[in-house]
Amino acid sequence: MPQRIVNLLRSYSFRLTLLYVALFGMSVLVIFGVIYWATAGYMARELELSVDAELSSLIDVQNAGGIDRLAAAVTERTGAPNNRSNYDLLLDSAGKRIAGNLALVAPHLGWQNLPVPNSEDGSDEGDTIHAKGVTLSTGHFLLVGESNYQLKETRELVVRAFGWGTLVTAVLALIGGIVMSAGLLRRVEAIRRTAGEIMAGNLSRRIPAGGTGDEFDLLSANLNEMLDRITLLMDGLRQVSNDIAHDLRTPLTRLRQRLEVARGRAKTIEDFEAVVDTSIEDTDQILRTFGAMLRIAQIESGTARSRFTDVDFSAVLRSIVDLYAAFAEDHHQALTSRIADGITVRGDRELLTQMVVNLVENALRHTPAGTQIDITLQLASGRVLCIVADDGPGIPQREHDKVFRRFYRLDTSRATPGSGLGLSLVAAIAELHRISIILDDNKPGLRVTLKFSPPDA
Amino acid sequence: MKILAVEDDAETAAYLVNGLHEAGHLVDQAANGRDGLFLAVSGHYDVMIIDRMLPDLDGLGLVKAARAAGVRTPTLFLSTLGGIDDRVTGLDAGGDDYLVKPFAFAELLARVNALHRRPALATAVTVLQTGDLRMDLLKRRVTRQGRQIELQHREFRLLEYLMQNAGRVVTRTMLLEAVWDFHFDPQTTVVETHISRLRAKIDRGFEQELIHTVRGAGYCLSE
Repeated sequence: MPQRIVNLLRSYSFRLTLLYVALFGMSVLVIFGVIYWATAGYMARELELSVDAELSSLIDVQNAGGIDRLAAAVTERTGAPNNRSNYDLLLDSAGKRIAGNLALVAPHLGWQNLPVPNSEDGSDEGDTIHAKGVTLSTGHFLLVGESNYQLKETRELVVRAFGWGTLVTAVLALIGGIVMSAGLLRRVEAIRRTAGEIMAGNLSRRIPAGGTGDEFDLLSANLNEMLDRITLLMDGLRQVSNDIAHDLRTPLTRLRQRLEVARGRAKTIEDFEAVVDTSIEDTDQILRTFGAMLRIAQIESGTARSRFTDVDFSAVLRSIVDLYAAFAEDHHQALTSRIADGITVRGDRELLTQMVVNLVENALRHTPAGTQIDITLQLASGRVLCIVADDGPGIPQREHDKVFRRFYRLDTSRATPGSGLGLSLVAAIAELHRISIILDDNKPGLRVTLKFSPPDA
Repeated sequence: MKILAVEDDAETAAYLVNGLHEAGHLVDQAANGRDGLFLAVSGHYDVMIIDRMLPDLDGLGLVKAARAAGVRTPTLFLSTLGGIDDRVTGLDAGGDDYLVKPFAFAELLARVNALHRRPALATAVTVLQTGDLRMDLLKRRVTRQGRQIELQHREFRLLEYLMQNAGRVVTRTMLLEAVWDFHFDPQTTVVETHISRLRAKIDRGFEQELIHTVRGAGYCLSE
């Protein structure tokens, strides 16, 4: 639990929250400063206006009723039992106090700030009086003042209100930040935990999705896809290793045996030459198989997709027919074609060629004389279809899925030449180009349909 | 012919050098990319044979640098098995031909010979002649001893390539590349079929055979 909190406090989103709280707090402080300054200034001016008004009303009293009435008015103004705001002083021309609640001060004209005389409870200690002194026409000195305690209290109120406000804001923002960070952290933690499990060897683990389609789900989906791809590549690698172990050992062993026998039995140079020649042929076949395996693995890795270009597939097929028609004829087979013009597909020209050539060579090699092999290229509802069909013996339905496996051969005796990789290569190239391969009974014979994905799919 | 071979594997290098010597060529050899580049830029070679994987500076980098330095020497890349885009990247880097290891020496020799001839073909040749066989490239007419021979489009291309390389061995894969623009190793004898058909038209009924089969290598058109 403490570790989780430490993680939370360390998290990037939490640090972002802190930064946000700091910025927000600063802006609140600025607003507060402005309001405080405006309020305080306004109240100070109000105080002066009030003092001025009082002064002129007292002068009016004196003008109307003389000094005695003025003294009575001053006494009335300052003598109220809970008076905390009015502080006046009336002196005669000799400087002797006539009325008022202020200690005797030297007559001083104009605006002045005076300390509040000590009261019993001391609650207004430190308050000041803003006062204005005038000399009356009779030679008397009148000082009218008001305490600023209201101003002070208002200021304190404003400060307190803003203080609490800021505090609550900060606390709420922090809580919000923690909740948000915890949420984000939980999602990141899920990804991290999955990655950890995968690193520990459980390759089938995938990141769970939140189901809301948010950015974390998108990220998770991408990561999962990447993991699928990696798994596929690793499976491919494992498959290649297995293939090497199983299917290259046999021919290598055979080669070794032949060389060993020749070493013991061959007598003449011709004998040796014959063995060397067949050994070279064997080696070439092994290397071809090896090359085909690497090629399949490389194609399955999908890297070639980045180099795809627009390929004139009609032209490719015509060249293939052109190349193989004579060969078929010489073997008493017929290679016919119905190729639509100008069909372009996106892909790798060499690989696409290889794919069709493998199918055609397969048909030529595994069918007897008299067989007709037909290549069709057409557009069917926006999708490119390439069909290689023959009327030979065909492949039993139950074998259809197996023929694309590596080293799978219908002829279990392996008497016919070939590596058993031709159709695996076809399958790999088709997969790379997102072409689906459909095997059908051509009644009689085999029909292989290459169905290209619609463009931009 | 003066040939530069850049190959880091000592055994393969010796195989190359010995074979080319036996075929009557002069060979300089370098075991890494930097030495190879130095030789390529300073020496005057007719053909360069460059391995893709080299220490210090790889084959692609070597050829790119040499091309940048103005070296126009025809170049053959060698590479190991498997690469599906190796050929394209090799040609993009300034290579002229490409051979995958392991290869039959006859194949290498045939390709080196063909490369050496390439620059001469840049000048416009309109008539090819080998013995009494004559090909007019403009009229697209082939005659032997004055008798016209009707050839189909591909047969014409096939014969044209053989005549361009008259006196030299061309391999099946070279023909497949030059005539059909296919880069694969056929598992059937398709090329042989086309050659035998061409042979039937060119050589049948004439005293002297022009198309010769070179065992273990390919074909050669010569008197």
